[in-house]
Amino acid sequence: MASATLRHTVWILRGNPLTGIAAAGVTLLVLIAILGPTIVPYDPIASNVSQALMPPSAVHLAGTDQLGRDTFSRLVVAARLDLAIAVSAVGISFVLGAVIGAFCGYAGGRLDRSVGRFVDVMMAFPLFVLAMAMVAALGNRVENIVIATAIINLPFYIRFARAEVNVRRNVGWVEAARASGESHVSVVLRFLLPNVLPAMAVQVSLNLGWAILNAAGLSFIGLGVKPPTPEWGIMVAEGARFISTGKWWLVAFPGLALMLAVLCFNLLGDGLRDILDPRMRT
Amino acid sequence: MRSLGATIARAAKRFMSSLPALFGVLVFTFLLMRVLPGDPAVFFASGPNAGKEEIEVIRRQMGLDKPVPEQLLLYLYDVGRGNLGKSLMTGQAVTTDLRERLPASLELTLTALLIALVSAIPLGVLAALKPGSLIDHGVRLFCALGVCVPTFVSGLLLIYVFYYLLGLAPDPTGRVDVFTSLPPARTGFLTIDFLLAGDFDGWWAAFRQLILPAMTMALFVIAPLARITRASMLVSLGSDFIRTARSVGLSWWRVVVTYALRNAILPVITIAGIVFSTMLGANVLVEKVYSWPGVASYALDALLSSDYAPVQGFVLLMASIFVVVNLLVDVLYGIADPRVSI
Repeated sequence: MASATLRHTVWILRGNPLTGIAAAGVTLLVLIAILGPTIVPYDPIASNVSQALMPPSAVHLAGTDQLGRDTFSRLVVAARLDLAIAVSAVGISFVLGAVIGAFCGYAGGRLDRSVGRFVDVMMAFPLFVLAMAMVAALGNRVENIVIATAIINLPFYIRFARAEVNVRRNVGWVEAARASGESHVSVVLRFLLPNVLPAMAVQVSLNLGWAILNAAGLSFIGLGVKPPTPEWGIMVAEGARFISTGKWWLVAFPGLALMLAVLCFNLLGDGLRDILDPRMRT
Repeated sequence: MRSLGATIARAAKRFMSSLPALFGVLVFTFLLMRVLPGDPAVFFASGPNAGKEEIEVIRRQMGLDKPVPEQLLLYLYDVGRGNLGKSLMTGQAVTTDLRERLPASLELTLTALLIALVSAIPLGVLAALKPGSLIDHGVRLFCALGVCVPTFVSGLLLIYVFYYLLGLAPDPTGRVDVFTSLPPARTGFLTIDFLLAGDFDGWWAAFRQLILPAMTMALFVIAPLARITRASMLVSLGSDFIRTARSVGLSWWRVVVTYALRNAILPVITIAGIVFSTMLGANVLVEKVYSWPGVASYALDALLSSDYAPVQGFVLLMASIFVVVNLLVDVLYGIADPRVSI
């Protein structure tokens, strides 16, 4: 069984080398996020006005901003915050969504219907607007960006887990677990959830890219992260003031960082889906 | 006649079923305002140093001393009468502010949706006609990249290329430059109002301002639309009735457009509805990049200066638009596929 999965994985990777590249990209991103501050050539928040707004060169790989701060160093250091926001937001919604969805799918009935309604109401919203409104209500802080991003992701996980558990609630091994005296809670948490998790992992990877875009969008409009903290969204916002005078590097490099990060997560998600469930290929 | 009646009945039924969602939205915006943030009365008081008595008076005026369920009823009553409160920033009623700015946002969003559909559907069809060809790979690459570039970045890069490098686009701020006199407001859509007034120079000025932000927003949504068109055309082109249509010698156009596309369009309509919702969100970013005087930038300015009534009104407006759009998608669905019944 395990060797068949391995063979299948190798076969997929051979047919679609992008997945391997994406996995390497994600690994690199995580490494950068961990090592960030120790490997940068300059202090990301030290200004040096004599070197302000310099285009990319051998000294400053990605140029400098209006305060003479090295854009490359800021980009590298920002990876940690951007990734931390996205990972913790998706983590929260993954755990909450899986548990809520699994219990709804298992129990059915009135609980299921009312949670379903609630999810429908949430999905009746332009989600970015919802996130904006929540940050406004909770207060303009980074933690609240995480909470808002987690909440707008929640409906997808609830739906997903609910559907996956619902089709399995009466299969043989669940009946067997119940017959051998497992409580309902234990059936859901110890038997059903572990079977649903692999499929949900695919969603997590696809979702991480989306969470990064969302968090960067929020900080671009001035919510959450405060200057001078380096973060990709706020770096684009600061560079925006200089774009109509041709200082392209202040927007292009953070934009490129965002794009590559999202691209890696998306490709990895697609690849994982092909490995786990070949039937879902499009 | 019967199908028209069925469509209307279907629309009515869908509308009724979207009412709970709309009610949920109302409760949510209420909670957003009254329960979660510190104390609205403090915001409405003369300043941060306002005395305790003054705040107490304002709290009573706003009905904040009443129990929460009663406040909710009062809020629903206010919304029913079209009273969304007053903006501290502009000193006007929020309803007035939103009404002034909504046409700008709608003109932008609808133009973007039009651009996206007009480019995504042919792209998806072309890719599906020759799977594995250069065009197919090109479209798929574009789709993969398209969803990864944040709208605010692509907007700024478009400004860099078309305004700074090529000088083709005008200064990217607002709907028209200050030298153009505005036409009499009929629809609120500047490009249409200029045409109605017969002012073609004005139309050109407004069109030039509109095209970059609309392109920015369209770029973001072309990818999902083209992707679903391609997938759904592949299924449609592979089906038996297309083989039959080809074998009896029908023209290429007839086979591809009349038969295949007509049958492939349903998922595209569904995705278009979802895409519209993401566009309402993307509006905030695009309007900020281009200083577009729409409802989203209004709400954003209000949000950043802790003026909560406009934010609440904006969220409610967006949700209502979304409900209406979903309804429209459903009606279109019924027209595109008469088999979809109640």
